[in-house]
Amino acid sequence: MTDAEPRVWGLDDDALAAYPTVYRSDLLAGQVAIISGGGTGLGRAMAYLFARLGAEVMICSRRQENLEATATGIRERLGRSIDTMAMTIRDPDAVAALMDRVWSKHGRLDILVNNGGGQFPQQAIDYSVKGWNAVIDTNLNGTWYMMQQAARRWRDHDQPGSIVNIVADIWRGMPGIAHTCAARAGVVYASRSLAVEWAPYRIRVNCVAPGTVATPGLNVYPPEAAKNFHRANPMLRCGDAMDIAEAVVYLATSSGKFITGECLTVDGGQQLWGEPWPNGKPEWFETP
Amino acid sequence: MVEGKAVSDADRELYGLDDAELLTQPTVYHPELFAGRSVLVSGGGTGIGRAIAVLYARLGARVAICGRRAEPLAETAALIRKGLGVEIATHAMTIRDPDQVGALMDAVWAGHGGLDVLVNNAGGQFAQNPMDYSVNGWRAVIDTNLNGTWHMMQAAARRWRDQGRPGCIINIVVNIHRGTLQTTHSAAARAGIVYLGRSLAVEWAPLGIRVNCVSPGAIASNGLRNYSREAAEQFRYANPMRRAGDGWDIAEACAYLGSPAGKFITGEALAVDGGYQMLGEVWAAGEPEYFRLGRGARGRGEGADPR
Repeated sequence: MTDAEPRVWGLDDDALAAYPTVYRSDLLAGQVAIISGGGTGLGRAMAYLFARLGAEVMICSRRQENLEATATGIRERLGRSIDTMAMTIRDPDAVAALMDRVWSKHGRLDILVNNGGGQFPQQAIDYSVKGWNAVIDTNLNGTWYMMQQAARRWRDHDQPGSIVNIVADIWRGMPGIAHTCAARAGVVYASRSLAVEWAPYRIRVNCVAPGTVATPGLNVYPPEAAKNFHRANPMLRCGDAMDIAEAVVYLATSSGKFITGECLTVDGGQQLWGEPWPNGKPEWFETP
Repeated sequence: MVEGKAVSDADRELYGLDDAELLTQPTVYHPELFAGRSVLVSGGGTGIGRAIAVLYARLGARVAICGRRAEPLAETAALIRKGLGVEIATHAMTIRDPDQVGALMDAVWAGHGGLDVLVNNAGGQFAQNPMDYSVNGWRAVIDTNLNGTWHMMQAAARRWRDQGRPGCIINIVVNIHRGTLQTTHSAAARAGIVYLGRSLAVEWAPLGIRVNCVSPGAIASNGLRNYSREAAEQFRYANPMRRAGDGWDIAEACAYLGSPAGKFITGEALAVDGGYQMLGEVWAAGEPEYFRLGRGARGRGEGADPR
């Protein structure tokens, strides 16, 4: 890591509030959505977009101050109030409490966006047991608890539901972040299985796989590596958070009503060409 | 389908939205999303292509459609004229002929001052056991679906390159991930398009050209009239949702990928299939007894049960 000031990436809150969306302005009116990891980055962008489209939004994450920053920003810029709950998705009881709070307030849930997650870059050979477990627990287990808890309530209330899981561009492996690649692949294939098992309950389960998207989350990577991220896809640029937020809306709403078990990759073509090397490129792979 | 003619519920589940519904079906998109944009839809005279043309027109695009037969193209144009008060361009031609494709592109460029989105929707196949395909039958499917789509992509890309303008290509394929049954020629042709698209997405990224595919599963549309009623009925149940999608699902996928929402998406194939890529089977020319026996045996945990 570095002592330098964290780099400012992507869209700030003013830009999120003003971003010209492709969707009609009342698209999510009357809909209730939970967005995990809603305090920062992609999750914050989703919270802005969902609120702008009229949804009742609950955001959760571990840190209350980030949640507050999102909620305050939305209140000030959009004049809309959203709910927040500080919790960890790693704890099944906390997940149940989150779901209960939403159901007791609204009596329904329409959309669950599992965006909460994260990883640290390290050569896999150096992972500690604890480090490995933490990434699997947050990204795979935490997402699973959220999916199961939501699905049980949809089943018990005989209401349909839509789940969108934010994963990663796993398709060619992810050297430097192998733990998250494993966890996200697990989410993708859990989703494909659940899409079939839960179809009788009218629950759709889909994923969005972002490539390199400009958010403050990129500051977790060494600046030397991050400065090359925009070269890691054929478009030679990063995506922005609204690319991902609009993908979530596409899958979650009526435009996605015949889509389930799918993983939509939004990556500027990175799945086909480019090398992100989140922890720097080992010399072995340098072109001679 | 005759404009304004009511269809029975049973027919709607198989053959999709009628023309009047295309004009009124709610859309998730901003009503001016494609204002001033030029869009070309091949196979725009019928079925899914008509739905795509109507949605783009409703969202403000200047639409051109092409297809082999003039009559369905004229019907789509009349529907849009009467329903939306907008004129669209129609071009009767075959995408199999590179010269006709070149003339089509020139006409669209001249008429609309350029092209922003190319939707390669035209294509088709016939159901038959592959053992019985004739050479001509095989070649026709490859020529229309793979070669025809390629001629369209290259002709558009050359013009975008020469004029220094970005472009967007959306190819409608079929869901090939588990193969397709009794339409092997189509699986081969469509797989070719998907991987052509993935290759070109990289090669043409420097030109600002995005290339994506939409893979429909069973879609209730007039296209199903090419199959027996029995086979068409099967399509509905051939996915975990146990229903067919409609042309609007595909049209909204095309609008998504063609809009700014898709600006960071290229080389992708979006399955809009009700989960068919994971579960469900369609025997387009009738299920062989071998597989019927297999399912019976699995279902009962005992030996083959010839019902």
